[in-house]
Amino acid sequence: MKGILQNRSLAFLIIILLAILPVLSGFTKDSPKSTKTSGEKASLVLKNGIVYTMEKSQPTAQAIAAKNGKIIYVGSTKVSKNMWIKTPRLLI
Amino acid sequence: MVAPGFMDGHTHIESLWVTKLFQVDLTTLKSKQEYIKAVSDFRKNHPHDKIILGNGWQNGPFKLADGTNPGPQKEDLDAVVSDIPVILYSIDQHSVWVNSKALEMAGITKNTKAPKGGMIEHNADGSPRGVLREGATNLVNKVSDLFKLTKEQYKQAILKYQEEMHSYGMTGVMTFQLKGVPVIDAIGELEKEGKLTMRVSGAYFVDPGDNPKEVVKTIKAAKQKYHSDWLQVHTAKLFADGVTEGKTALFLEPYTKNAGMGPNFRGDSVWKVDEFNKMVAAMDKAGIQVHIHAIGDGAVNMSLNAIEKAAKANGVRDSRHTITHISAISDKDIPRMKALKVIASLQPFWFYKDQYYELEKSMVGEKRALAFYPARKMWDKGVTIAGSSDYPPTPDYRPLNSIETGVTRNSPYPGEQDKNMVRNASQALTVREMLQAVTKNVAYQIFREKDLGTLKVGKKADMVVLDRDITKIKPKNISETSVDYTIVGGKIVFKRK
Repeated sequence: MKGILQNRSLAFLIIILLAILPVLSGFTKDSPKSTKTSGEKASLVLKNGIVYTMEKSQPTAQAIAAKNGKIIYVGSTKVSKNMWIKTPRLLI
Repeated sequence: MVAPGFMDGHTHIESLWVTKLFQVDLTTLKSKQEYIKAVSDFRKNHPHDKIILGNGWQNGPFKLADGTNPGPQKEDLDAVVSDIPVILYSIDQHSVWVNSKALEMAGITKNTKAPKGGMIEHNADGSPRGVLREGATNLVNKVSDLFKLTKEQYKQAILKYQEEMHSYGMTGVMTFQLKGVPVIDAIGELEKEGKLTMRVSGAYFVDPGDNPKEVVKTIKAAKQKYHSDWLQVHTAKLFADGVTEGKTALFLEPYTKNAGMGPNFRGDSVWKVDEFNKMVAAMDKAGIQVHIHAIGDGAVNMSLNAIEKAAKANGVRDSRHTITHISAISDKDIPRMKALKVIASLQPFWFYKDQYYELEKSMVGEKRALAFYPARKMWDKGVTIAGSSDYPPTPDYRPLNSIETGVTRNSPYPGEQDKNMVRNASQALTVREMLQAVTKNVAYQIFREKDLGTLKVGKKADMVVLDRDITKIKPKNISETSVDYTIVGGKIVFKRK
């Protein structure tokens, strides 16, 4: 974590709720449509950083969230607060 | 920063870990004496083995004081093991060094002729020297087949690789299955056991003499069997030529006199051109992607000709045929590559004066060796460049090294960076372009652009978290960046301690 401390502006908070981590084998059964709502609870949120998406329409973002193995949000840190889940666990 | 998980579009995931776990590991050794000692020590520790295999020697350590390099010889091995066969593969897998027992069991004598594109080296007295190159390496296959690993042992090696690649920020690969080695099946079993945490595209080797119908049958069956989120099969791997340092790469212009092959020696193709064209066309027709090894510009030209012919015969389709390595390419062939939508799977790890440079320079001259890997020209003409390592010929396959070298065209190792190791800086790519090459472009190469390679709602959450923004630091420091997390399918598979 030394690098993170040296680069505070780039620091990330990773929040994860282990209890709803997806079961790997279940990925294919999920429909992407059902996970698009930005207000829903994510299993993993990375925020306060720079995300290089490699997508032309939105090359960079501040935050990204995932659920059931898939990306459910790419955007600003503000909106991603809505996806926070109860008792988030701080990893860094 | 966060980026899509790094992917490697050309690697051999199990091979070095098989060596590390079950064979003589020569990869980190630097001299002939160390090689011999390693074989001798392995014999002492495995007194009941019926055969010894090893991996990772290089030509460099055999260079003599006068600058010539006669390479290894069987007598060195005979001195430490003479009663059972010893077969040692070079780091690039294109040569084998064997003892007399292995030659005897393979039936190789002074009268044995090398197959097309292959080479059997001889001592001054005409006896085989104990070094076989390219196609001739297959002459000892029957002997090396005595070394059998179980599928469980392959699974052990694959899991070791998986753990290591995650620690480098990697989430996906294209890997090549050697004939008779059940790697793709082993990966399939790991998936069933819930242990697979990397995305894999598996490819099958195809050699001259193989029946196109049989090949199509095998690969189509594998395509049907493996089409999950984790493991897919789309691809046949073919060798158009060999390697420059082995004088087996096919160039449009002759080698220098240092190759010792006469004035008009341009190397040779592994295949007869007609057979090659037929095989490529058959694959294309069956909807199978070909992934062609071509180092010299002659081999690249031959590959593009075959792909063009296939497109004419079968109609243009979304075939994503790939040519890999491309040390040299004729300026005329770059626009053709773009027009035929052929992907360039390049190894940016080699874009500086790397471990192979001195031998390349000796074989084709300084000017041509310096001009190798014209990545900028290819990118600007619109060729899709997908990054890869060709591990284990590139033993240190960390994608951050690849990104750095693609940008600096210099060694990624701090101790070497001030030692004139830049190769053709005018062909540098940018950090953003290199990031794209090792993420999005590999996903496209392996037909996974819909769910991998970029970060977008609905795609798989395969990501890498780095401890700094590599677009904002000096490029020479990129490879010193730490991977904090690697995430696959939203799950953390690596966390920095």
